Amino acid sequence: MQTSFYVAHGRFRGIFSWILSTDHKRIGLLYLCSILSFFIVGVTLGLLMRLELFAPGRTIMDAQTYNALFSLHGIVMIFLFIIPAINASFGNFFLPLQIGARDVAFPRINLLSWYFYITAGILAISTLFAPGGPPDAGWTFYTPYSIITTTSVSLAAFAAFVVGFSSILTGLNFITTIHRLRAPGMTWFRMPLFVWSVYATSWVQILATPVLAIVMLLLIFERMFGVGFFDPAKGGDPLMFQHLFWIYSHPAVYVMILPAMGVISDIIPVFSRRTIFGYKAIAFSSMTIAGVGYVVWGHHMFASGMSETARWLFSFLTFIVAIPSGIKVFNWVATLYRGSIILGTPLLYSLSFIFLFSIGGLTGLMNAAVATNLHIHDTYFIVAHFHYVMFGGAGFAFFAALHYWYPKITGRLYDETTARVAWLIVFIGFNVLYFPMFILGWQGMPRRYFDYPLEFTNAHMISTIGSWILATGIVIMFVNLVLSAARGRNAGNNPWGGATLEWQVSSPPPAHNFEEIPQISKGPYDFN
Amino acid sequence: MLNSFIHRIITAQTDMGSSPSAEPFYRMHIADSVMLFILAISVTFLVLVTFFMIYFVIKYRKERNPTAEQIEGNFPLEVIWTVIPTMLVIIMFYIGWAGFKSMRDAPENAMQVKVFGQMWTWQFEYTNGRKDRVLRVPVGKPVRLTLASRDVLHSLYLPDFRIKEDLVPRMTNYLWFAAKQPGLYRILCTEYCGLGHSQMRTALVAMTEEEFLRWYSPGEAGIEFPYRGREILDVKGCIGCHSLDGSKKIGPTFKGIYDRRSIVITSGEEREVITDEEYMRRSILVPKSDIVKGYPAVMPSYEGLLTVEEFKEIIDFLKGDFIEKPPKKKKVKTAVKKRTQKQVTAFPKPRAVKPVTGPEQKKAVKAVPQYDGKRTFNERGCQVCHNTSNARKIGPGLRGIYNRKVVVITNRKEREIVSDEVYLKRSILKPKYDIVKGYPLLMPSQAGFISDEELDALVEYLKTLK
Repeated sequence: MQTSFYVAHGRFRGIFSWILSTDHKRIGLLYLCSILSFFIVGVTLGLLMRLELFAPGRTIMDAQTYNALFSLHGIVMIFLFIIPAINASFGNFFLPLQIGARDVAFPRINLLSWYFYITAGILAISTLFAPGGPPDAGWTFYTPYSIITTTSVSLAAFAAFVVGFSSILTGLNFITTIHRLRAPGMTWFRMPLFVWSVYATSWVQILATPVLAIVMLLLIFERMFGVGFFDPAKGGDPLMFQHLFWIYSHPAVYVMILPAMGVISDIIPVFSRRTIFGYKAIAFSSMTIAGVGYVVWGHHMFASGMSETARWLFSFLTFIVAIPSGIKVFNWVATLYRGSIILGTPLLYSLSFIFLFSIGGLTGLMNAAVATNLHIHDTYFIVAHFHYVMFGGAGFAFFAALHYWYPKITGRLYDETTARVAWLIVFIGFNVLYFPMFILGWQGMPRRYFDYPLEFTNAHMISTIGSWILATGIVIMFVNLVLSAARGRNAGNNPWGGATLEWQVSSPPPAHNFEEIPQISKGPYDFN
Repeated sequence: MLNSFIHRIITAQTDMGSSPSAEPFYRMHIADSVMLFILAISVTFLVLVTFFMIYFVIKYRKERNPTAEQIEGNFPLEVIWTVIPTMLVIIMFYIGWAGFKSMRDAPENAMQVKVFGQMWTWQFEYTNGRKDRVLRVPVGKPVRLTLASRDVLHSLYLPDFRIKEDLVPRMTNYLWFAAKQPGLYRILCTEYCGLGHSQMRTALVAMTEEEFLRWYSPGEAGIEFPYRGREILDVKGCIGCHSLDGSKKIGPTFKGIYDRRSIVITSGEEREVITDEEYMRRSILVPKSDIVKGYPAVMPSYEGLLTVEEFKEIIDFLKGDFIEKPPKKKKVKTAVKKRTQKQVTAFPKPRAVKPVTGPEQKKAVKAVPQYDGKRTFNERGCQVCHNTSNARKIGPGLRGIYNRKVVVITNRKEREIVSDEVYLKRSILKPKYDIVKGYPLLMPSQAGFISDEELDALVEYLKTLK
């Protein structure tokens, strides 16, 4: 057995062997740990918000604090958790392994991108203590409110600006890696579908993120110097801000969900012991989503007073982008057909991903139709919808990936029974937390309300109770994973019987991945 | 066939003859029927996907099916599940769009009302110059709202009518609707606008034509139609827990609440009280001090949430004999189905119908003032942030504001000034110039929105606050 990458510390020792490492596995773990830390921050903020909403009126905090909490919850969860969640952590760790490379194409840039990320994270958290108080303009920073508020919006916007560079550099790195460093015989259609999805994601990152950087800079200039880009009194246009913001932030939704879909496409064949159904359909649908996803941003603005032409155009394109997602779902379900299924925890998370993501996606159709959108726009219906997609989708896939690749990363097995119990609690808690929000929204409960009319009390109470159940499940899951890292049974190289390359090396993987670069002669899901 | 089906979904709302009062609005049908259509398709897909998922997991589990069959795909199947969803989404798009179009184009005879949003209040301005913070419309008449914002983004949302549209500074958006039934409906702000966003709510009051005209007609412009007690109870959410008809809800009913004997629990001990004005005041401001026996101690305090005027209105209303009311009730009731009865009973009677008491008399004798500072104060939503007492709200309390010494921050430097007329006017027109120490820099400027006469009247009114 070769020396694992934990032992081979490189040029530096101790903490420096991590924060100065250019090994993609160590950087992947740096990402994973920092992402998990921000996830815990985001969850805590969310729990506090739910507690406040337990009853109408003031419960535990004042309106200003609540407004800051939902803004920070959004900023942390979106920019610091869900965008890099799977792509930067598992992508970094497993992309080179899966294509038979020793590292990514630009290892130093890879480390730099983590520094951008962690700097942005520290900046975002520091807004909590900044003069003026934490930002209260929402993660969307809509002008003119974001310009006139005296809270530390500029700092938060700067954090989003910085984290963008991390995203761009990671995307650039992965695209180059996939183009240039595939092992001999690893043709495009022999790549695991996770690699395909990371590839599609990376294109979105490098093409869309610069727009975010520009709009955040404009916002900062506007706040500091009163330039007037978005101030109508100075000839600016508040709607222009929304367009620019969503030109990035809608494709960003696909940065969050595409790697998740890739994870699911990898897990289902392994736990069904059969090849994936419709490999090319899934691969092409990733690229289609990445492409069409650029041109649907206007559906965030149906009620903004945008022209009717824009309304029908964006509504139409939004409906179209639903199709490739549907294709994926059908192919995943078909992959179960005549398989030999082991219902392990990664598969449980994957199947619940399909269920929850379907709910999120199908309610997206209701948002996409202009007639219904005008009713549910900016209500809890939207809150429920995007939590089903982002958390029920990308979040559950992140948990699936965490369990699926856990033996490879740590070399040990987690406790299966505890993991399943945690899954059940998480699944139940999730639905108790978010499903009532669909009903609330349809009844007319607006988003971002510190206080609400009394008729909404019951559903809010149920939802808050759900948040406690969900948090309990997450705690059990994490405790199980942490304890098993010390006590778990030895995993062996390939506990799930996976056919992709990462399972062919030892667990944890050796420092340079492959002693000899493998020669690829079969597909990623060939279990014969 | 498909065409006629789509047509039926979209035109369902014009089919009023068949369901005269099933829905209180013309357009409730459209968004709801589009929703039902998409929901039906969605549920079908979700059930199919979930069913096959669970079925396969059970049927092909390892114990039953030890060796998997390697199926790489099926081209016809891929085509089927690409083409069918494509057709479905195009149909859904079309229905959603066509439904929107019919919701969008306002009839030409629509009544015009200008809506102004500002942090965190609404103002509705009618073509004859009438202004109000509650939107009053005659039943059955299409109303076209033109929407404008005085500061940041807001969004006017009428949940019962399934519509909303943003208020964008320097841009004029519009919405239209027609209320079918008299009643009170919520108006909510749904675009985040800062600290008071969740309090930026008001009511749509749909009145019968004659009631509306009585309110609207220029001859009576001097009579204030403020927020009546009944509307305040609704807007502030009291009705959620207290009924008007004697039935028990979360809290005791308002019916006959004034001046009766009631058993309450005060710090753990039972005692009998007379529910006089003082008691009501205490119940609203410190609800936990006396809990009516048999009810949970859940009511939140309304301290700081009601202006003095609103408070008086509520007390007047509760004192008044509001249940046994006018004959008009029956007339309306015959026209509506059971479901909407509650709304009709809840319909606020313009005070003119009631026997004239206290406050009205005063108003009636008062000559119709051209510009009434107090009215401007309310119309402009000043009370959203300023109490007329000493108490601090979002902005400073205004009692004794005239000619007192204030420490303000001008250009980041503290200075003490006397709040004379010049200062007051500057604060209204250029609020960011001097910020009273210890308060946030939030107040929107009224420049360009307030006439000189109104400004003078407002300042005169501020002088009277002592």
